[in-house]
Amino acid sequence: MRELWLLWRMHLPRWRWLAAGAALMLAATLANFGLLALSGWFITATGLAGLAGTALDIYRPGAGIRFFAVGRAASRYGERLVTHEAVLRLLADLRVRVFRRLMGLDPARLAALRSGDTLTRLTADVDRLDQFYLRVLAPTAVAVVGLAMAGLVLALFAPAPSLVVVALVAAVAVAAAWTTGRLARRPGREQVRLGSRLREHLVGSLDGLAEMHIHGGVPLARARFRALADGYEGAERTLSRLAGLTQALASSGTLLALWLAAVSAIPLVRADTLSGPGFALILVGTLALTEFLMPLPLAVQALSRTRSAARRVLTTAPREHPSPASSTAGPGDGTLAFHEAVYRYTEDGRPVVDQVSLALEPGTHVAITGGSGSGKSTLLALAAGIRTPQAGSVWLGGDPVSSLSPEAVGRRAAWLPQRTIVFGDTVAGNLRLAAPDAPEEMLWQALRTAALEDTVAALPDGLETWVGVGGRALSGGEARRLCLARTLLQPAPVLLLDEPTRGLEAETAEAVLRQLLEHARERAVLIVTHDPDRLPTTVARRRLRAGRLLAAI
Amino acid sequence: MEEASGVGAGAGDTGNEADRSWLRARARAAGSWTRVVTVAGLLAGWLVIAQAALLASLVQRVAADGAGLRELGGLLAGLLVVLLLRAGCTAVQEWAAAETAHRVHRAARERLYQHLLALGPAGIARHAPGGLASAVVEQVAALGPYVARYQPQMVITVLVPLAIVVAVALVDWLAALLLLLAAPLIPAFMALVGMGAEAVSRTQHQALARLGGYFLDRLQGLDLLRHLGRADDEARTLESVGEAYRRRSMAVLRVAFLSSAVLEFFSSVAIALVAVYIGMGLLGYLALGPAPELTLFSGLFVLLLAPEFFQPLRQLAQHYHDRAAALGAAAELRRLEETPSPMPPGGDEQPPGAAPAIELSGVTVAGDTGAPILADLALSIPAGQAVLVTGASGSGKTTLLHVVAAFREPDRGEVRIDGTSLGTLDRAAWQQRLGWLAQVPHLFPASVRSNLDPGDHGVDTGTLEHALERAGARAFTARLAQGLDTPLDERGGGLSGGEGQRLALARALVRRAPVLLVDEPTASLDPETADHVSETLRAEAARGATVIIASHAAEQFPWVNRVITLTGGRITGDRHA
Repeated sequence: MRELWLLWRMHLPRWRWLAAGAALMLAATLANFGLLALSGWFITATGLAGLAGTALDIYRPGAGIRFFAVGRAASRYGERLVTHEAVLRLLADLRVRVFRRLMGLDPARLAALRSGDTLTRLTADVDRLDQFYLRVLAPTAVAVVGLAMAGLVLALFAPAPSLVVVALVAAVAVAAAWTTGRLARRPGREQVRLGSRLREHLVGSLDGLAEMHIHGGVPLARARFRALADGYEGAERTLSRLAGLTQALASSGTLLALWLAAVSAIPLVRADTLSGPGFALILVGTLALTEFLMPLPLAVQALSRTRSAARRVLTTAPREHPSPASSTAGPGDGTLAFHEAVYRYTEDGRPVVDQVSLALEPGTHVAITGGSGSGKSTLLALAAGIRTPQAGSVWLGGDPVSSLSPEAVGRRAAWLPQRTIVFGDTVAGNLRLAAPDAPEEMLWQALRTAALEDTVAALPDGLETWVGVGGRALSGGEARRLCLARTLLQPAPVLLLDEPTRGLEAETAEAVLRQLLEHARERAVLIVTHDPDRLPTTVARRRLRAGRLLAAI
Repeated sequence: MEEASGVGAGAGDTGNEADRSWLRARARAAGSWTRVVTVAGLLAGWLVIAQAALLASLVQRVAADGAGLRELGGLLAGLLVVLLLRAGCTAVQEWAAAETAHRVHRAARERLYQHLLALGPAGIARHAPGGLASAVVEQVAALGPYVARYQPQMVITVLVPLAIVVAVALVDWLAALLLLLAAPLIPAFMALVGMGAEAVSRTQHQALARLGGYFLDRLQGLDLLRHLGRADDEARTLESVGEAYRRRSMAVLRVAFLSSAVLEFFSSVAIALVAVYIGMGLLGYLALGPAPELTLFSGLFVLLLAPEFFQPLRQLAQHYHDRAAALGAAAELRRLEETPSPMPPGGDEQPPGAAPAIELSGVTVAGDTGAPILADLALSIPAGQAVLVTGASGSGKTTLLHVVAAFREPDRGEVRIDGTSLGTLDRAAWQQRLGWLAQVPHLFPASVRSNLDPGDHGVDTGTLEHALERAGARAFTARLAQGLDTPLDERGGGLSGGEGQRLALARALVRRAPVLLVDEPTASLDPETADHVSETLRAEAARGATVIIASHAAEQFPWVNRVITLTGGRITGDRHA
């Protein structure tokens, strides 16, 4: 229930739009009810007047019919516009809220989310949360209020039959919704459980497809797939059968109410407490009540789906952080020091970084080399505060890294992570993330140092070319150099570079490193690379082997 | 904000003819259940006519003739029967729709998975397994609603209004004409609704895809954004980007919703016109056409049917997004299913049992872009030789292994095993004669035993333990609580990277395979494990197996007989030790 309460609270800031959408939905449904009920009344009245040869005021009912007819079309149009407007605003809010929640996670936790498809799923789950308003809140509110209002109108003509009708219709709707919710619980859980096992089997067997073929496991994989898919699809079928049957139950409830209304109203006409036109109005009006109830069985299903989506979103992004704590620490003194730092991925695992001690002053340039898996990148991640050492300490700018927020680290050290991260934005937009107010010359200067100037200059829109998601595809080497240029723009005294020349031709790599180190003459620079041959001779080289830093080479 | 090209393109696409015919073929799996849905839906629609007739005559008898419950027994019983029949028809329709969707999903999933297995590791290398899994589970689920809802509704939308117009025409042709005038041509209306709904679903889909894409993009770089001190600004940007997309989407939707508003307006006006026409006729104010003959019964009958005339069209509009979703899924699934398998079809000759000589001549494999991954490769490996293939990433090392393992048929050239063309060998038998070890050990979420014997060939415990022994995996498998039957969870749970690789090595050793194909076996290992893996492979080579190791860490395997260097798919070095 907690997730629904939180979801509800996230809806509150937009209550005006949401309420307006629901009100228009109600207006459209009531106009439909009015149109049909009034037409029924009118035709019966004219028929009886025609038979009796008496006169009848046809202008007021005629105007009423026209009013409802135009009102129905207009409010339906308005409803669709306003609910869509509301939902788009709501989703925008939800994304920002979830983003802020994730901002509060520590870097290691964030890295864990990034592996696998957790973030992709989270994005899809957030998009699904609009169902709570569209399919659950609004239709339920409309059904309750609409049914009460329509019931009041009917009661003006015949209180007792109307009471029977409304009570029956409401009871059947509640019963249908309750039964669906109840009966669907087990197959719903089955579907989720088997669905994730099916997905697990699919990912496992496709990921290990070479092993499957080599070890003759393909028939086994197929048999296992069939068994899991059978169960999953069985649950899926049960759920849609249930949905269908509740739909049928709800509509038969209205039909039964219609029949009961007829039976209970006929004696009233005989006793002259109900007019003939009133009788027609009751029948036609009851028939129109279906519109209020049709969305209800679907609401129950949508509710369980949004609940699980909301639950997943909240477990992934547990807390809300209004904004990251702003640390007052400035750029520091431009030093970097490791004191016997030890890091293990798991508590009892082998140390990946093993008692490393190293000190860099402004102007010191050190390159760490070593094979893959030697702990190079982890060492850099310790300096950037992405990981925290289990023993020993790492000091940046004169303070322990563990005491600095990621933002504070960013003011003391410019960090080029191992991953190449190019955002869906323009070239300039990507660069200005590091230096928001940098003039164009500065951007060009950074691109020149990263040997990307000519490439960007040749682009049709130059700095304004859209790259990353939805934009021009950069080659691996180009993307790497763009990231490097961004890191160079970051106004911090220490430089932490993880494989800055990965994917570059040998000559380009050499040129880039030379220019870059020339440019960073006054800064402390720590470079991690598996290819020390490209480094200028001015750089001190240290080798990392199995986490231990070896003597200078 | 720049228009982001490419994202969401084709998502709301109408789909081309090939997608539609693919969809039709998948729909056939439902057999006659689709027809049951259609017929039950039609019956429910037609019963509305009977219901209207009964209700109208009930009002006529009660209001005009003053009849009481006693005289109306037959009529009320008839009404009850019709109402129950209608509910029954709806129930049958829903039940059959569930069955239809079920059969379509089942057949499509089976077929797709079968194809993915047949594509082999080289064929699916371009796709992330997670994406393929969601194609099989989620995307296939978009097909059912189209077959079970949209297609039957197309038939219902034509035949139910037609029957209603005929029924109305029988009592009053002028009213029927009014209805027909309000919806001049149902097909025209359907096209109108279709166009509107199409635009709506496309716009929504694109807005979601783009905003979702933007959101995901920023989430993935959130650590860097925080480091740069820009996370807070990005949260605000996210807000304004959402705002911009909202404004643009709403501009499209305002127009797109008009088409259904037109339908809504016409149906409202038609009902109102019919009501006023009937009222005037009943009062005797109208002398044209059949108006003077109108009775209370016929008037009410027509009035009750007027909204039902438009109802199927409104439902069709609601199901329209099912169509868009199904066509979107069809486009992707068809592309997957029509990817030809890169594995050679194979013949029925049995592969040799002892370590074979492997000979490649003129082997060329083209990449996606057309540039060759392997270019006219000639390489002869005598039986029992241990070869190290080295080269930068992207030089074709893995593809070479795939070609030898018959996961990838060369576009040109030939592979001979002891002189017999690989194409004429029984492919499965050849593959099952190989030992395979990859860079990332793939462990299945199953017991240690199933991981050592994924084909469940009932290899005895002694053999398995011997393989574990040789792979240096006895030390930690012996510690496991349930021994070989201890289950491993999803990511090889509980085992470190090195332990996982030793287990995978043991798996490759179980069969004492005459050929060992090994891809970067030490790339992510600690030195100790790396050395052990290298030593074990050396022992296998000493046993007489033909061994091919692809690795860029040449220093790790100083014992090999021969070192081949690949550069851009060509052999640029061939050094015998």
